[in-house]
Amino acid sequence: MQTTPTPTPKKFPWLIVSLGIVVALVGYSFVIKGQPSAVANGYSCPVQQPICKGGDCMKNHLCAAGTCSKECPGNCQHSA
Amino acid sequence: MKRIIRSARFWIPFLIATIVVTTFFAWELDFLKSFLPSLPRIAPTTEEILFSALLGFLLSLTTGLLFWNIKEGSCPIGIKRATGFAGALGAITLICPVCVIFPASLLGLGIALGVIAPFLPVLRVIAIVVLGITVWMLWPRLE
Repeated sequence: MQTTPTPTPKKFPWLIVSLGIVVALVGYSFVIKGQPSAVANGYSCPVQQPICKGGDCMKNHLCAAGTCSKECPGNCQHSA
Repeated sequence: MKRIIRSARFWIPFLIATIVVTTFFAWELDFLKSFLPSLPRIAPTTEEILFSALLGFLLSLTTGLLFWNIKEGSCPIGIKRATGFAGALGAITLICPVCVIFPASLLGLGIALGVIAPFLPVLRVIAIVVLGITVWMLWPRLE
């Protein structure tokens, strides 16, 4: 009497995906290591132009909320 | 393929997930600031909007396929965890690089998430790739 073999359920390839993630992160680390500006940009305000300048600081809701006040050179401080 | 297109078991979870994910990402990208309090952030970039659209579509598609496969009894092991991982990773990486420090600080995770700020682009790619694999695994094969 033969029984039909139960199909093995598929599994998500965590090992391969994990290795891929590690390789990607390590590779990207080497890439940004050679470009200090890439690291700096990660912590700096993404806007290229200072968005809070002069006496209009509190009129801009982003500046009023304190966003990018310290990170963007030339922007007003939060307390301004 | 036709079985999926004609199946309410796919479309209902897909549409519910689309609404939920779209609303969440819209809030995260500050498009709902008229209605809801939002995270402090600057206007989203085109890249962020495109990424959130792709991520939202893949998350919704995965959810629909997941429910369809559960009913069909052939759901691969670990798919739910992978979907949750990719969705959470994508949501975190949508927070702007600088702003990631502030909301995370509220949760006591400032240092942990602040470190990942320069890695946000590659983490977004990883989230998309993981979701792509889940869709590929959940997609019905011809037998």
